[in-house]
Amino acid sequence: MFNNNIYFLLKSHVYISEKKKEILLYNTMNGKYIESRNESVIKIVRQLNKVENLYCIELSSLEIQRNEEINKFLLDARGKSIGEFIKKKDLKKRPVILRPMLGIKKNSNLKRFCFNNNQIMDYLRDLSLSINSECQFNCKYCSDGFKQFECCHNDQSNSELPITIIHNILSQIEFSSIRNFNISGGNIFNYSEFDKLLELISKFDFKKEFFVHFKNIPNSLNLNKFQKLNNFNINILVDQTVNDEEIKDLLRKLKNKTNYSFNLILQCEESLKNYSKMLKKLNLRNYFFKPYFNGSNLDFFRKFVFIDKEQILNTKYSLKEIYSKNIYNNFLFGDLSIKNTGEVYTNLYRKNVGNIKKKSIREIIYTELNEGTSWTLTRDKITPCKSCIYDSLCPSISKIELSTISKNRIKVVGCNNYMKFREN
Amino acid sequence: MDFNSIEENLINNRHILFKVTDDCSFKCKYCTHGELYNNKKNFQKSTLSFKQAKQFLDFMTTYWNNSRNNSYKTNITIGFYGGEPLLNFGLIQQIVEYSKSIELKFNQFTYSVTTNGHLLNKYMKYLVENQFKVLISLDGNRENNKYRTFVNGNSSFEIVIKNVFTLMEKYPDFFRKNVNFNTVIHNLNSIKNTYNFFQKKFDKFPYFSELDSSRINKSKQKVFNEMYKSITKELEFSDDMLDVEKQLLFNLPRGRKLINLLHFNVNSFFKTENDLRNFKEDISFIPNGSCDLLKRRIFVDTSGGIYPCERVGTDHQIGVISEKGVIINYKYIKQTYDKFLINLRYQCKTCFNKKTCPNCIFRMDVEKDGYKCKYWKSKAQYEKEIKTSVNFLRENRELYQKISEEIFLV
Repeated sequence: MFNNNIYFLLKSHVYISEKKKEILLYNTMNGKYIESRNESVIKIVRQLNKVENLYCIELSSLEIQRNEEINKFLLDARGKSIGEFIKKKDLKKRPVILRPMLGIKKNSNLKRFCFNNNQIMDYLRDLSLSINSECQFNCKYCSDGFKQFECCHNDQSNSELPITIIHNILSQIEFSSIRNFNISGGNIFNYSEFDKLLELISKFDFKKEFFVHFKNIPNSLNLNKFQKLNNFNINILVDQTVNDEEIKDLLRKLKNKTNYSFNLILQCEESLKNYSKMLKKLNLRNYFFKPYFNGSNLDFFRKFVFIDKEQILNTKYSLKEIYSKNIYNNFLFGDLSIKNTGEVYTNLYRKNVGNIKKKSIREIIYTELNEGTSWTLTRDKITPCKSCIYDSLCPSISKIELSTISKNRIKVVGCNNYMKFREN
Repeated sequence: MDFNSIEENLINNRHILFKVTDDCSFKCKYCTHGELYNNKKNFQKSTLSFKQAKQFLDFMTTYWNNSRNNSYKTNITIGFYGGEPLLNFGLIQQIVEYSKSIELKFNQFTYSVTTNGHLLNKYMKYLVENQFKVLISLDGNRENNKYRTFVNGNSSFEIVIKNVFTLMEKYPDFFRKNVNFNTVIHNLNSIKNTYNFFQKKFDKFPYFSELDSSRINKSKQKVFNEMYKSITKELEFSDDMLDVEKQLLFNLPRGRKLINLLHFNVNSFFKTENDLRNFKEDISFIPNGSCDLLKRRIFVDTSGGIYPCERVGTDHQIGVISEKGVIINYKYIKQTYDKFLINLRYQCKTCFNKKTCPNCIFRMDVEKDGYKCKYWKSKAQYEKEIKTSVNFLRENRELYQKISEEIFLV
């Protein structure tokens, strides 16, 4: 077949992931891929990946005929619409492929991408407010559940975020692109100015999400307070101590009276089974599982939460999605958390980035975009991901992964892929 | 273009340009206020007053400080234009000093000036102290510069070049970062020799422009034709211009077309991080090359008239600084936009040049050409252009990386 020299080219929608000893060619149109550790194939892909070659190189017939792996690779590429080969003599000149390219400005040190300081407030996505810390209960996940998902938290400070500060925050975000405004506590119903808070946020169109533990929903809950609100939801945090009767009781209070959903805190396989039974029995549909890493349930996460190579490659990613993961952490980007003390966080596993009583949201966002490292925490910055060919296909580093790293001090990431692949 | 959009654009404006005087120390042959062009009869030269400029700055400050201004720590440029703006240096200084007293919540001011270079020696210290961006008009060496004379007809070259060298020697850092040149191409110079001139003398690349071919005085058409030189044609018929083209890329037509192709027509070329955040594949937009009115720039002329920019002539005044205050003519803006868009609608719908449309509606000569868009492209024409760009890229593959690393959209 390869009796003549050829031009081998990749299609413009193909993404190349190139590491030291392996490569991945990923077709973003059909999800098909080629991965290889063969030296000759890696050499060819490296040449293709040089920008000046524009995804097209010449290969000699001798080279192809002598090397079975190259032969196989070329046919495989054609079969998966990843590449194509054309006899050199059939073309006057080497073709040009307008290959994928990130033409995004970097700063003068070339170490970070530049964001647009003319639209700072457009970068705000979710704002989470912890309005108080008071709570009579002492759940086991209280100390750090809030770092892994939206959850109440008692920091023992017994302090509240003053309503004047909340008012100020709202005026700052009025014209931003905020998507969700999350409110949690302590027990939010014990917030001294709760009615006033509802009145303030009722003037805004963004989604309001309330987070409250099921034990903190008062018997005499007055849902009329929420009537003025549009676009809101009450998220009820449920853990494995709940029983069916308690859920039924909640449903009596809430069903057909307000918007709500259940957030089921999940730590082990047994809880999963118990929840599944309960959901089936009570015919509950509006629920979300919230896996919680407690420091000793890594096996549960490996089995039920972390993803495998097959799962990564069974999902089709566009070039846009792949490249966005090179720049943003899609779970953290645009999110701010403000505690009842006024401290602001872009990443709850790191130090605060200021206090809302002293710094504006605009200033905090500007600093994070221009100097911070939380919103841009991408897999190519951490081991072992930076040496993995799937680093741009994998979902961004999640809060749960950050919790596994912080608790166990081991570099475990949210996939079983790396360990299994290494074993092979 | 409704009231809210105009308000939004005023809030997000980042550049105002004051024409501080109509007066000029030069009488360049190709000046658009000169005999080659049809100009307003009974044109009276005047100067902008500080009162008007202050009024306008105060007006804009309320918009810049509006909480709907989504920016932070970005620059708002106050530019100075003329005639020769340095002839009214006193006003420039007043405006700059006044601007320092304005408390901007989210931005800071920077300054720019376009000058013929004649008075640089006198005022360069101030320009350096305030970190002005300086654009000097110079057409090359003495021979190239022959159309740029003083009012009395004497050559301006010696004085200007002396001033430029002084600036370069006294303030080398400032010169390197803040000074650029604008060169008009005509029959007395060429891209190659001006490129070599600026490279050798100043280690700089000038911005090139052609003679303005609109509103030519019919009796001077022949003179104009002799002077006029097309940049595209000059590049086409020269064999040794490739290095110059590659160096000046965005400044020259072929490079610009290639950049436009990549930035606007190739889905796999991501030019801003915004492209990656917006997952909507089809963004609807009104195809036309006019910039965001009042957002990109606002031009204030010497009589306090407000215009979209300094290039649209006097036909589209969209506001005025009056005794009663600054008045923006929202009705006129909406009517103008509606009129043009209705008349251009069919052409835009069928045009393949939509995404890189260079047609500014305010620069269309409706009296002469009607509403016929001279930039309209059929599929065949557009494909031909893409082919040219791709061929250019095929011969010069390194440009792909250069474009991705050095050319960024503003």
